[in-house]
Amino acid sequence: MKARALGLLGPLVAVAVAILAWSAVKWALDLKDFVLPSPLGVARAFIGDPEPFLRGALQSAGSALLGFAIAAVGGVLIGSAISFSRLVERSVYPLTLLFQMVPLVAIAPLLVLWFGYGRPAIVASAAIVSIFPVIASTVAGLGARDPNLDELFRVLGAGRLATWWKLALPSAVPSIVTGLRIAAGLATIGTICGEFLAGTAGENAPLGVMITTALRNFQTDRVFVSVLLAAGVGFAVFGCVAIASRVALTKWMR
Amino acid sequence: MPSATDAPHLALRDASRSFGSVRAVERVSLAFMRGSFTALVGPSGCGKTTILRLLGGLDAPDSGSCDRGAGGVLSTGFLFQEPRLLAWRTLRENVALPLELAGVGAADRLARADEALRLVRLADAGSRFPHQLSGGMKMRASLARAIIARPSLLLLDEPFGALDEVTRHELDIELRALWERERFTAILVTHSLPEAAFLAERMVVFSPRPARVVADLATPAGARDARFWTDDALGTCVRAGSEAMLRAIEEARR
Repeated sequence: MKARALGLLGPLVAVAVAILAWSAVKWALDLKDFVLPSPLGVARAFIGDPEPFLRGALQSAGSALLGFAIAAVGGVLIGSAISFSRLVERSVYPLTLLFQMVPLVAIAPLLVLWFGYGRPAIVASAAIVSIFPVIASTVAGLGARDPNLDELFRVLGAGRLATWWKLALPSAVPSIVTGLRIAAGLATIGTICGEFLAGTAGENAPLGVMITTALRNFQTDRVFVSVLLAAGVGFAVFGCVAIASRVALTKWMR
Repeated sequence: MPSATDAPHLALRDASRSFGSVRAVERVSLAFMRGSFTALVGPSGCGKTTILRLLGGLDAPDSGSCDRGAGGVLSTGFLFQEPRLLAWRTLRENVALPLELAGVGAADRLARADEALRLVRLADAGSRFPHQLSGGMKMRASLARAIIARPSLLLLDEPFGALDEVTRHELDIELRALWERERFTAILVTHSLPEAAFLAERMVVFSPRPARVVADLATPAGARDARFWTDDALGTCVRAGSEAMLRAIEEARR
């Protein structure tokens, strides 16, 4: 009980220290509000009219989760297809590195061209950024299964599809879950980036758009609120995936 | 039901098998009667497992032949050195796997899995996971899986070698009882002469690599209960087997 209270106390103290340091820097350097708002000012900007911020956060969270889901399913399928034969693995796997290597900012205009402004392009951006870790962890997990179990399935006359579904994929679950956790964090980054370029302003403006709008109007306090909320969305998406994966993994615990 | 015990239904004829420059099996001829229990004994690394794989159709001889059942394909169950259970499945689902891969419906195969678990005295453990069981229990579940499809041939590759002595004797007694009731053809690979004499009706002793038959002995008749372990007849049989093996080892050294 005492250890638990201490465990909670630590992060709280750290947050308090960070806020104090923030105020100290502002006061010491005598920074204007549009350069660095005070912690209190940021809180006031949020509490004054929280609704658009919360709606924006909800928008962004939805896009991030959707993009993550597409990356999760697509990544596992692509990873499985790649693992189906050595030849395909050697020839196609390097190609998937493109997802990792091409800077998102460089292809985001293309996404706008293909999907138009709005959610589809944002979701695509989130999916593209987060798919590679899923592919890589799927390929690694599928390749690392116990050859003894492979032999068992061969002896029992299992076909390739049955072996994939009943042996290879379940064996790869712990590895895939690791990839999914990384992807969850990246999906939020991809979402905010996508919103910078493809988001639309208005009633339901997502966080990325709120950041750019507030910046143009020198409302730096509103930028801070949006950024903090974006971090919150990232935590929430990651938390959902972490909890879901822990439930899924109970069967795999030894 | 297999009834004709006079005709061999499995035979190696003059079979040889090499791996690269290593000759594992040299001109071995062996025939197995329907419903018989044979133990293949020899020094470790002598090629016993290769012979078992040839008999099971997992491998083919370089020269000579392996005759698996007159015209038809023999239904074969395997029991490996390790339990080879799927960690993410309950015992019941593990045991039902051969039927599942053969397309048997869920209700039917799970009922038969419960029946098979009862045969190996694991009736209460069907809903537990492999990691919750002792090594002996895992091996029992593996045995249940090997016999669930009612194979006419059961191949056992040092199945209890990794268990402690008491558990091993216990499982030997149960395996023997199971065979007496079901009367499948059983072929056991082991490096333990007492275990071979206890379980099987016939004991084939091999030389060091490449495997040649150096003795083909009938084991003592009689019930296999705990008292049998201290029986004089068992001792005589084991002595005959070990003398043949030691002679072969000495010849190989010369």
